[in-house]
Parts: sequence; structure tokens; C-alpha cells
Amino acid sequence: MGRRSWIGVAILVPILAIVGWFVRPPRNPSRSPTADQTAHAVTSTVPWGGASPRPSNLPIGPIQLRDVTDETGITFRHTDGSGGHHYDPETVTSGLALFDFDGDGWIDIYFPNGAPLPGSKADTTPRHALYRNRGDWTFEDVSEASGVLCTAFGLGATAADYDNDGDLDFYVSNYGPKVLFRNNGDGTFQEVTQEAGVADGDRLGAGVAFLDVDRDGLLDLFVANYMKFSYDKHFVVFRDGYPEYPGPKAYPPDRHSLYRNLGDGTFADITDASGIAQHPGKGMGIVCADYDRDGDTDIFVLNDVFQNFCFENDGYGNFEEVALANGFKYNSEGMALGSMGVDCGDYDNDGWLDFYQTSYHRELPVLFRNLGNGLLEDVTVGTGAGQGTLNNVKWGCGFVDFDNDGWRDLFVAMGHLQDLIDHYDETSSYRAKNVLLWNDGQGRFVDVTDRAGDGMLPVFSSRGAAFEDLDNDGDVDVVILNARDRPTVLRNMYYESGGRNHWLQILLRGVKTNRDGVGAQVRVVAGGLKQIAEVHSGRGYQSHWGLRLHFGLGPHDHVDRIEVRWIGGGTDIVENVPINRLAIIVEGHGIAEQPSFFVPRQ
Amino acid sequence: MLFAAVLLCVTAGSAYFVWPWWRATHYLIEARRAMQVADAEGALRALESAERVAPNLAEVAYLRSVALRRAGLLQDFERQLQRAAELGWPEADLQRQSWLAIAQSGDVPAVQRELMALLAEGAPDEVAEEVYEAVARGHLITYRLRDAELCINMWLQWRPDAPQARVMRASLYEQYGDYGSAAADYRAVLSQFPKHREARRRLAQALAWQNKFDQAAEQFEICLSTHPNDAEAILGLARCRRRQGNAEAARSLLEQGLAQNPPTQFRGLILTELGRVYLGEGKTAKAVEVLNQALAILPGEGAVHHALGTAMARIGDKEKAQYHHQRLREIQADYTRLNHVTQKLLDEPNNADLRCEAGEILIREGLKKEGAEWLLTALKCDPNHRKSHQLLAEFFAEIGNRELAARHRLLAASAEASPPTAPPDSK
Amino acid sequence: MVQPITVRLSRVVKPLESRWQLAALLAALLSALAVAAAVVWHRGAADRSFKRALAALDARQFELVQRELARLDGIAGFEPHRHFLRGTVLLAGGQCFAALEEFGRCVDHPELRVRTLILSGQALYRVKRFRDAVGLLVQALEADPQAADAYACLAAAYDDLGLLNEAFQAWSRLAELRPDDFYPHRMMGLRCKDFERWESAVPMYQEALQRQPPQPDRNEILLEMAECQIRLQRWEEALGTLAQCFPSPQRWTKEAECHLSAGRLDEAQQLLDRSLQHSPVDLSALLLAGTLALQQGKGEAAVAAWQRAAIAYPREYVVHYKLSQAFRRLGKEAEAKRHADLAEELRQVRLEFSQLHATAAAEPDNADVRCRLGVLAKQLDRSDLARGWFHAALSINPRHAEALQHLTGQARQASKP
Repeated sequence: MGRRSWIGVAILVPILAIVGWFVRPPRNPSRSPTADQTAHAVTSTVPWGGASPRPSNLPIGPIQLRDVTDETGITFRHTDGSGGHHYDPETVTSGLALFDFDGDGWIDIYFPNGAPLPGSKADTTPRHALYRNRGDWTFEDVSEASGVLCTAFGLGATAADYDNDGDLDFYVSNYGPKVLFRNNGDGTFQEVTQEAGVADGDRLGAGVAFLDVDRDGLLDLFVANYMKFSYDKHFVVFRDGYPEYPGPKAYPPDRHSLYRNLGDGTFADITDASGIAQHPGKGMGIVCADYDRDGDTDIFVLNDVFQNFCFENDGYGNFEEVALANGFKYNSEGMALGSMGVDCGDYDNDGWLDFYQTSYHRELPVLFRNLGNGLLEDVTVGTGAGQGTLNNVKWGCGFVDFDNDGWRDLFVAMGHLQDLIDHYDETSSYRAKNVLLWNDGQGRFVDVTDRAGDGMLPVFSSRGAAFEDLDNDGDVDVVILNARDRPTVLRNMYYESGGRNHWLQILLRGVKTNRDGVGAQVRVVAGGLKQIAEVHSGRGYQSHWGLRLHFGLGPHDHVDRIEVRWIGGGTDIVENVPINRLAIIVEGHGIAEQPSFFVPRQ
Repeated sequence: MLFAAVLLCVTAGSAYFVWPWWRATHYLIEARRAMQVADAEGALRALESAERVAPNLAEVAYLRSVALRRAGLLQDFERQLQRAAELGWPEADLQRQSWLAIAQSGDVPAVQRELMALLAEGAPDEVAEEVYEAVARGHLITYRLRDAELCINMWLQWRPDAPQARVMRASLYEQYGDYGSAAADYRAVLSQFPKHREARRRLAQALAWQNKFDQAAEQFEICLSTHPNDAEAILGLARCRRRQGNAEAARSLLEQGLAQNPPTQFRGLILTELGRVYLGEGKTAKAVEVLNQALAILPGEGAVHHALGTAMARIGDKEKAQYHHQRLREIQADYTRLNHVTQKLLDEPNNADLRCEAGEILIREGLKKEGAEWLLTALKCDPNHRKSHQLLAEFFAEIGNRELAARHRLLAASAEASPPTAPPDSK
Repeated sequence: MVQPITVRLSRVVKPLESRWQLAALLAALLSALAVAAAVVWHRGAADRSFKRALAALDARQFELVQRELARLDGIAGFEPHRHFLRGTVLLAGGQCFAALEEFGRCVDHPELRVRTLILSGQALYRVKRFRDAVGLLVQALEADPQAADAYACLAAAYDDLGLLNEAFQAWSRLAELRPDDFYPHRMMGLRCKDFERWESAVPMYQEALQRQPPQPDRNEILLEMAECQIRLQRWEEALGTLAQCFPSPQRWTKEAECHLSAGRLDEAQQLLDRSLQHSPVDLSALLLAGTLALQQGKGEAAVAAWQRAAIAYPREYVVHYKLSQAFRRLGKEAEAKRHADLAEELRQVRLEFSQLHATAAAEPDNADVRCRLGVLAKQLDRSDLARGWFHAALSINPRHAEALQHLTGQARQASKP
């Protein structure tokens, strides 16, 4: 080519390049999600439900929980009775109860169940289930054998020896009449609801609890009810074309009930006389506790999208609602939450019982710190007690010292109630992982969910959660009821993974006061570590556990002293208590003989 | 041929570069002429054109900032001044404009020393006129009429023919109720600057106030001949026609005014006048209809209540008639009190209580923005004036400015415990 | 041999006798061509004039539009175009009703229909007749589904009517049509934030930021996104976002909140002090100051901060609630009760306000609900929101007496003597 040609090329190429730059195609417009994509993407950041394989390279945290559900032989499968009509009761079933019904030293499990609601069909009639703990991580369905054949639409359960005859009875909260099962003492139960007078009408029940309101040594019964649901007022709402449950705002509140134990197997309805009737609500989880240490049991009721209640006891079974005054009514922003479950425990070991409530999607749970002067303060944000929980609905919860370091950790059961939410909200999902928050002993919680073993991997729509030492090895295990699915049983592998902290479990036996010691506060002093706990019947999300108190002692190898303040009774002090065992403390008599089923750990 | 071609290219090239400058200069001259007759709109129009042809000419940016300041658009003024600074206009001019803006917005004491220093140093005439104008406007805005009068007189002493000074003095005369002197000043301005729109309009209004409707109508007509959409002129002329007994002409003008969709305030006044016309024509039902529309816009306007009271009495609705008459009495009492307050202020310009009361009256009668401005002047005299803070808090809350409402609430609360602050020395 | 042109021409035409005749012939031909060109040019001038006017309109050079309008005067067949241009100039001048009249005279012209409908919709939006605006804009979109301007105005109208789903759809579509425009994502993020859907808001804001918004929008977006991250308890993420913001009291307050929640009290205190120094009435800062004081065990200081907030924002529910709790802690029961009662009263108002939003969304024709929302907003000291709701009511029923009464009681244009 000649010079001119080269000059021409030299001029032309840059010109073409410049032209090309200006006519380059625009940015790809599809990189941002469209409304359709945003609204209708069925995406999920967690795998669909069911147990997951055990990856071998999970990071290790201070708490290790292993999913042993498959080994247990539990075949129970929950149903919520749904048939596509989206009735609200479907969403709130159910809690569960852990208690030793046959007195053999091994904690058994009671699972309430839903039942077919109008418009739904079931091939077999679903029923509640009672599983007997064989002591080897297997459980046996003894529902039929024990006479506990309940097919009502179950919501919650609690257990206690209401007749003080030495064995645990239990009470089930239903949609419809509730049911009281009296333990015959031989592994069987008799349904005595009508005789006792505690059916509580045809209502949508919620959390239930036994407590001694008047300190007469007999356990009375508090029954929370959810709302006045009725099929003829039922309607469905739609979001992006998908049906949703309307929720509690659609129905009026219902009144709760209080029954006084007359001591002859019957109860009297003292709801009106006690002052409880003046405060109808939308009850969910409840817990009864002496939060102000005035020697009587007060009642904490969570109400769904409604103000919470704290019924303060005057010691004689008369109650005044004081939640606004003591700070329990709302969270720190003064908001009423979609409250679900509540547990009680002293998370900061200051000697005062604190409370933790779960809540709805996009709401933080609330950790109420007891200030000790009749006031409760929302310290959720400052303590990190809401980590990992914002994007789903939270149900069962518990203050549990999983690693026995003397500081109570938090377990939160999660799962949405809108079963089609995955279709229109990519930030949440029907099924979710549960959350485990480790207490660092400095007033803060750390989210260790991803480091707590394969037990935190299962993804279900969980409801009730309960916590007991199922294998009597000194660490607390977990049982979770999952909606529309099988339950999850988690074995605490603290000692199996090399943990060395000490522990003590205490079982109370009342003599003048109620036999289970329900309402009694126990203070354990081990060196510089001072802890308190209280015996509750009914807690968490419409569940029950913890008649046997558990204390992690950390490195302390001895307990200096145990103080037991009995409700309606005096105070017993026991000193120099051996550790790593279950101690049975009898009112007025100190520690009873070590039961044979217990193997103390070295 | 080659030489011719080169010459052509050079000429074309020069024209290409010089042409925008030439055009910009043309617009700048137009703008300066407009500013001379206080035609801020015209000045801004010319300067926008200048900016289009010469967007990076600092003089354009600077002049535009001056025009914006003189038009009272102080936020835009600041932005434009910043632009002029970026384009390299001399710092001294920019600083001076900032001072003038402060003075013009009412805070004369804050920059008085600097501006007086400018005059004392023998600033050019153009600058001196700017200073006088800004200071006078500042005093007028804060109702320091004596100070404004002093400033304007000094200005006129130096420049007897300064049109803007005469216009401002005329508005002072209007404040004093001396419409005759005001008209004289306006005429003097118009004799030199027949296109001075503001002077002509105000002359017409001053004549109308003196009930010289024929002369007033004549002036309004001249206004409309150049600006046929001038709502104020339309309203003024319609009023004159009505008072001249020519209801039909009045009605036609008012309907024309409505058809042009004037600003809400004027719409209310036009509707009021139309209602009066209908009343005069015996069309009571129509009068009621338009007067109710006027009432929705001007709930504190005495003329509306007066007309409505009359109309209601005619149709036999005694209760409503009584209500409107009562409202009229209340409004009249308020404005009588306002006159009294403003009279007292002539001699006590630093009396915060009086200023606060004036503001309160105006707010009560629906002139909330004006009322708020009075309250702000009260705070200039006494920053701890509690009632002014309270009323301002209510005002800002109503217009949705939560932060300012909160600020004034807190200041009101802290003022409760503090003694009143001595007014600043405004001399 | 090539013959000269004159020789060749002479074989075709009558032979030309001289050069001058040839020149004259050429001149005549050129003249004819020039005339023909002029005729063609003239015919296209009106079109070009109109196109220039449209370009000037897009560049918001309304003087040029006026000039082209003057050029189109008297040209046959351009009457609708003149109405259109007049309408645009009137609309630019804020004379919406007059503009609508002009648009009404050209809306049926096929070339102008879509633009006219869009501008009419914008005019109606500006006079708060949101329902009517929606009607016209929907028509515009039926004619031209790619009309981005229509989507922009439609989204705003739906938003003001409280029809959030529809607004989101319009913004989403606008985002598709204008991939470089940050505005739709910003608005969607803002609305998600308003409805406490923090998790959804953050990605929207991130999308908006990727489109390089100018200041001050960028700063506002960052602040809003940080607030969502704070609500999601993502403290470090929020701090990272805030680090990109201009220093301001809002930024310092949010940073303080992050540090406080992470347990870094000293840092929180420093930032809060700075924020309050610059903006002593910032509600978030005052609330946080109280919370921080409480965490430090300084009950009286907490009460002092919240009392300032209560004076500054007397209808703010959370302030009174916190004060009631704080007074209780200090044992001042009477004060505690007073604030608790006020808090409860405000809570009921807020509850109704919140519930009625859902009703408004479900009932797009209900003016009463919108008026009631305005009344409640006023009770909550949110006159800015109240105005919007009253206008929304009037856009459905222009004679809604209560809404008119509230509005005229609220707003009064300034009158310059």
C-alpha cells in the first residue's frame, strides 16, 4: 500500500473506533429484576424441608446438637387439618410437652396434633401421641396403651401433679373443649375433664399452665385462649393472587380462664372473681413466674398483635393487669408484636427472672431484662438476642444452658405460617432453620446456628420447642414439633464432643406445697457463680418442660449451697451438694437419696 | 482566488467565534435595561437567552444572580452566584451581592457596617443604587418604615430621578395611607419610564384607593395593553368598571380573568368581585355560588363575608347572614387592631410584642405566610419571644416542616425560663 | 474523438447561437430547480419547525418552543400541533387547566395522541386529580406500551392514591424501559422501607446506586439504605454504607445507633453529641441519646433527652411511651401515668391510621377513607401527609366538604401586596 493509503487507514481506524464507542449497545436491561420476577420468583435461600445429610466439615462452636430423629423411632406426623380453606387455627397448632409420665426417670414426649377442619379429608384420623422414652434414644408410642387417645384439634399442653398423688397429669388445650388427663399411676390415664370442670367451653385454646395462685398447695389452672374464630366469619385474603391466612386482626379477642383447684379433683372457675376476665386478649404462649420475688406466682400472657398482659398476683388469687406499668406490654418502641411464645430464665445471673418472647416475621423477638424493681426492660438490640430471627416467624423458645457454662443460651424455633409465602416474598420462606444464640456471659448473645452441628440444619416450619435431658447425661436436649411434618429430636453432644463443664439437676418434691414444686424458686451458688431458676408448668410456645431444673456449673466442681423458696411454704437450704447428678430435694427434708437411674458423669 | 478563499475562511471563523459574544452582549444590554425599570421577569428572560448562546460567560452568570436577587429568588440567587464564582467573576462583586441579599431579606444590621463602608469608599453609582435599594427593601420587609423612609430619602436626595426609589417611596406613602403622594411618585416614574409596569399598576391601584375610578381604569387598560394576562390588572379594571356602574364590562373582565386560571389568591379575589357584580345585578343565587368558592380560598377576607352576608339576607337565610356578618365584624376588629399595631410600630420598631401580635392577627385571618414573616421579625427583636416561637411552631407544623416546628417548640419552652432579650441595635 | 458538448447538444436541441444563450438556459434551469427546491423545502419547514419545537420541549427550552409556535401560525394542517405546543408552554408555566384545554383540542390527532395523553396526565397529576390522571395515562400506554414518561407519572399517581402494588408495577416497568434511571428503584426502595420491608428495600437501593444517581439523591439513598440495614441488624454493613455519606447529623446519628447496638458506647456517645450539636431537634438523635443514657445508668439524663423530644414532637407516640417507662424507673408515677395515657391515645390513632392504609389500597374509590387518613395524619402532627391525603380524597370527589374544609384551613397562598 502506498503512503496515502496508510494515512487513510491511520485516519479511518480511530474514526471508526470513536463511532463504534458511541453506537455501542446499551446496558443489558434485564440485569435488574422485573416486578414479575420480584413478585413471583420461587426462590429460597434454604433447601426445601426435611432432614439433611450430615456434612463432615461443619465449623465447631461451643454447642453441638445432633439430629437423631431417625434413630428415635418416632413416627408421629403433625397435621394442621388444612384443606385449602386457610382457616386461622391451622397456623397455630401446636406446642408439645416433655414430662416423665411413668416416673421411670426418663423424660417422655407428648405431641398434640391437629385434626381435619371442615373441607379437609384425612385417610386416617390423626391423633395426639404419647411417646415413652426407653432410655436409649428410642421412643415407644404408648398412646393407645396409656389411654391417651385424643383426636381433638390440639394446640398446647402442660403437665403437673394437680392432685398431688405422686404422678404427673396433663392438660391439653384444643380448638374446642380442652382435656384433662389424670394419671392413674400405672402408665395409664383417665380423661376427667367434665368431672374436673375444666373443659373451658368451645374455644380456640392456646397456652396453658398449672400454678398455685393462692398458695394453698394445690395447683390451679390458667388457660389462655386465642381469639373468637368462627367459620362463618372466615375469609381469605390474597397477595399477588395467592391466598393468605387473614390473621388475628380479623377476629375479636377472647377471654382467658382461671380455675381454682378445690382439692377434690374438681376446679372452680374464678376468672371473673380474680380480675382476669376484664382483660380479653389473643393469647398465645404463657408462662407463670414470680418475677417480683414477692412470694406468689404472676402470669405472663402473650397476645398476638395485641398488648401483652402481666397479671400480678396479690398472693390470694386476685390479679391486676400491670404490663404497661412494668414494661411487658410492648417492646421498647411501644409496639404490640405478633407475639408467639415466651420463656422465663435469668440470662444474666443477677438473681431476677428475665423473659424472652418470640414474634412475627420482620419483628425482632424481645428480651425483657428484669430490673429487679418490678420493671422489665427491652434489651434485645443491645444484647443481640434477635440475631438471625428477623426474616421469619418465631415460635417456641427457651432459656437453656446447652454447654453448661452457667449462662443460659437461647433456642428459637422458626417457620412461617403463610404456607405460600415462598411464591411472593423472596425474603422469607415457609420452612426455615431454627436459631441458636450462645450467651457469652458478658450480657450478649452470639448467633452460633451455623456452628452448632447438623441439628441446626433441618428446615421445617417449626412450632413448639421443649428442652429436657432426654438421655440423663447431664446436658439438655431438644424436641421440636414441626407443622405438617414429623418432629425433630436433637441430642446435645456437649460431652461427646469433649465438654468438661459440670452440672446439676434438681427435682423438687413438695410436701406442704404442691408436689412438683411448681412456682418454687431455686438458687444455686457455686463459688462465684450464682444462678436462679423456677419450676414452671407450661411455657414457651404453648408447651411444657422443665419440672426438672437444670444448672450448668461451668468449671465449678462443687455447689456451696442451694436455696429453695417454696410457693406458699418456707425456704429450704441445702449445702455441699454433689454435682453432676440429679438431686431430689424434698420440702423440709433436704436431698433425697440419689435415684438409681442416674449415672453421674466424671 | 486563494486570497479570497482565505479571507472568507478567516471571516467565517471570526464570525463563528464572535457571533455568540455579540448576541450575548445584545441580551445583556436588554437585561440591564429591564433591570433599570425593575422588570425582573424581562431581565431574567434576556439573561436566559444570553446563557444559551454563551453558557460560560461569567458576566451572564453574575448578572443573572443580581436579577434573581432583585426578584427575591434568593435560593436560585445563591446557586447562580456560586456559578459566577466558578466562572471567575471578581470576588468583591460576589461578596457585595451576598451582603445585599442579607440586607434585602431583612437582616440589615448584620451587614450594615459593610454596606455603609462601601458607600463611604465612593463606590460607583450603580453599586450605590444597589445598596440603597437592598437596604430600603430590607427595612420595608421588616416594617421599619421610618428607617426605610430615611434610606429612600437619602437615595432620592442623591438621585432625585431614581425610579426604584420613587416606587419604594410611593409604597411607603401607601403604608401611611397617603395615596395622593404615592400617585404623584408613580406618575413621576412613568414620565421617565413609561414602560415601568410596576409603577403603572400601582398608580392605578392608588388612584382606585382614592376612588378616582376613571383615571384608575385608564391606567389598568394601559397595563393590559402590554400584558393582557395580568391578573391584578384585570381585577383592578373590573373593580373600576363595577364602581363606574358598568357591571357587564366588569363581569366580562372577571370571567376572562378566571379563564386564564390565575394563582389561587387572585382567583379568590376575582371570585369575590364577581360575586359582588352578581349581587349588584340581582343574581343572588349565582352570587352565592361564586362567593362560596371565594370563601373556600379566602376564609378571612372581609369582603367575602360582607357579600355573603348580604346575599344570605336576601334569600332569607338569617342564620347564615348573621354568621357572615359576625365574621365580618371579627375580621374588621382584627384589621382595625392590626392598623393600630402597625401605627405603633412606626415609633416602636423594635417592639417584639407588637410584631408578634401583628403576626398572630394575620395568621388568624388566614394569611399564614405573612403572619409567619411578622413573627420572624419579632424574633429578630427578641430571640426569646416565647409567643412568637409558639405561633411559629404551629405554623411550621401546619406546613409540614417538622424540624422547624420542633425547633421553635423547644425555643418556646426554653424562653419560658429566660428573661426577654434586649432588641439588637438597628441603627 | 469526443465531440464538444455544444456539438452533442446541438444534435438534440435547436442549435444555440451563443454562449450567452447557453448561460441563460442554464440559469433558467437552475432557477426552476431552485424554485422547486424552495417549494419542497417550504412544505417540509412546518414539520421541521414542529420537530425543533419538540426537541426544545425535551430540553425544556420553552422560549424556543414559543418561537417555533409562532412560525407555525397560519400554516394549514398544523392547528392541532399549535394547540399541542401551546399546551406544553402553559403546562410549563403551571397553568394546568389552560394546558388541558389546549390538549383537549389535539388529543385525537394520531401523531400527537400519545404525547398529549401523557402531558394531560401530568397536568392532572399536578392539580392532584390522580384518578383522572391514571385514566389518561393508561390510555396512553394502551397506545404505546413503551411510553416511559407515562409509567413515571402513572407510578406517582398510584403512589399518591395509596395503590402501592400498582405503583410498584409501574416503577418496575419504568426501570425496564429506562435501565440507566435510578429513580424507579429508589422509589421502590423507599416504599419498601416505609412499609418496613427492609429486606426488600436494600436490594432496590443497591440497584438505584448502581445507576450512578447524582447528588444529593445519592446521599439520600445511602442514608435510607443504611437505615434499612440497621433495622436488619446488619450493623457493620450499615456503617460501611454510612461511610459513603456526607457528614451530617443524620449520618452521625445512624452511626451512633450502630455502635450502640454493637456495644461500643463511647463511640456512640461521641457521634451522638456531634449530631445534636449540629441538629439539636433531630428526633432520632434525641431518642437515641435517651437510650444511651439509660444504658449508662443515667436515668435522669435519659428523661431529660426524651423530655426535649416530647416538647419538640408532642405527638410522637414512642417519645411518650419511653418517657412513661423512664419515669416509672425513677419512681415518678404521676408523670409516668400522664405520658402513658398520652401514648395510649396516640397509639390508637396510629393503629387506625395504619389499618386505614390497607382499606385505602383496597378501596381506590373511597374518598371518605382518604379524608379520614388526612385527619388522623393531622392528629399525628403530620400535616405534610395530611395534605396529600386530602388531595387524594378530592381527586376522587372534588366536592368532598370535609377534605376541602381541612385543606383550605391548612393552606393559604401568599399574597404579595
